[in-house]
Amino acid sequence: MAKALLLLTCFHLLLFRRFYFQNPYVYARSEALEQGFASSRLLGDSLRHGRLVDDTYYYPDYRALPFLSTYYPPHALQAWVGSWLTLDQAWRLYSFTMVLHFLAASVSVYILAISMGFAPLPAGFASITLSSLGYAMKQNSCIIYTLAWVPSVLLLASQHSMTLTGISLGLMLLAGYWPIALYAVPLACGLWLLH
Amino acid sequence: MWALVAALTLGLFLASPQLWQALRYYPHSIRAGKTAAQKMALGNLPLSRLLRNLVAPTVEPVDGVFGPEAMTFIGLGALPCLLLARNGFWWFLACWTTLLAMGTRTPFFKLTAWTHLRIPARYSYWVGVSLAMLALEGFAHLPARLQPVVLFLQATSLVLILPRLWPMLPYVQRWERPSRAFSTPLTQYLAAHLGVYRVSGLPYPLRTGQVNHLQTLGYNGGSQARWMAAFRQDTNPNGSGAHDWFAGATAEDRDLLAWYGVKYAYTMRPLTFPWRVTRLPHLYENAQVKEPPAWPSMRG
Repeated sequence: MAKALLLLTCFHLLLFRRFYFQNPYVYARSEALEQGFASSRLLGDSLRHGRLVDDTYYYPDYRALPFLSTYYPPHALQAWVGSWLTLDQAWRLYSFTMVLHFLAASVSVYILAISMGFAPLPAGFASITLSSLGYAMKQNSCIIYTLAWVPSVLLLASQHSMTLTGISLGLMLLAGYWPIALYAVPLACGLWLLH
Repeated sequence: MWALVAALTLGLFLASPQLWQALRYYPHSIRAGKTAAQKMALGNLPLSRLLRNLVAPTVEPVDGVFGPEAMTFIGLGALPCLLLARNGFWWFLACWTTLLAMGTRTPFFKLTAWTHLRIPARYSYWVGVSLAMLALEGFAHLPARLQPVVLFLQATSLVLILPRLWPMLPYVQRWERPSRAFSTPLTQYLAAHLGVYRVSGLPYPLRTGQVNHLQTLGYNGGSQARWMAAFRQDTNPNGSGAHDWFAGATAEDRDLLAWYGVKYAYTMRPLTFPWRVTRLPHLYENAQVKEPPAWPSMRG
């Protein structure tokens, strides 16, 4: 298992080599910088002052919009920690949180595949394929967070794992990209009933 | 069955803080009550793009949406594995979601429109998931001596191709350090002069005003509130997303802007009275501005 995790980490570092080894600001553009990071900064400031986020600048209904990932624990945590940091440091933490979701997804799929009886090679294939779909390469943190949970939700549902399915489902919905997450729920139910 | 209900209950309970607020908000947003035509206004993918993205993915925009919305790439090593896959459930899902992703190009999305959110192209994610599941099945049936070769091919193709999809060059801005991007002569000027008022048309990446604590016109994207769409006279079913009041998406109304507390406007359009030029190019000051109403008071 340790060898497999090391290989998955190497794959992850190669996949995001530009971010890790060349330029930590390579993703500092477009929606990620303009909306994701900016709203995360506001969330972090609010949490630091011990209050719920209330936006008078751009989103009149900030907390009602799922795609701002307000209640998603890893996002809220990085926003809170980032509020103590400089803008550049906070950005690096924000983008690291995004990128780390790919590694977390690949490791969780590998462990699930092994627990389902797959041999290490098919489990490794499942891990890198399901966690690194082309569609997941998005410039929006809520999409990356959500898609990182979908393979685990589907695999756990097909294994009838009640508690872990529920937790993954909850976190996937909190991550906030509902155009994908809402369809994962009936699909997970279907897989549960089929297996 | 009870275990499934319990898992769903647990998931929904954990997500309840967001679900509760979003479900209360949804009837008041422009997303509620969309017609099939409005849901299919963008992102109806040609089959050729879906197939092309399997082998040679491109981020080129398609039918009004960003290229990544049409992405079906699952790695080159996964493709030969599909030939050995037999699982009817995932084959059905791959075919069905392909037909849905094509939107107006097949009758299926329209016939089942009540079950879908907007933008058919987003089904390309489920095309990818279905094919990846099938590839996994096919990989497991490969002869043992071929598995390391295919795995190596898969990992190599992902490592070489995926970094070309994010950032989606050349259809994206140049990277910038946030400390520089959010500290410009414009932000410094507005920080000193804006006060409690609003500014229209902040340029990228300042548009939300959240980092610099600048009040803007407010969000009018795809999930905007109905009152905001009405106030902005925004008839785009997906929200115009316009940040500049004068950029054509919204009508010009001097009294309305003064009432809304818009003290500054950053726009490429030359403005006349009551707007005054400032020392910054393209930034105008409203001579007749009033104190802005709070958003909660506008919801009614």
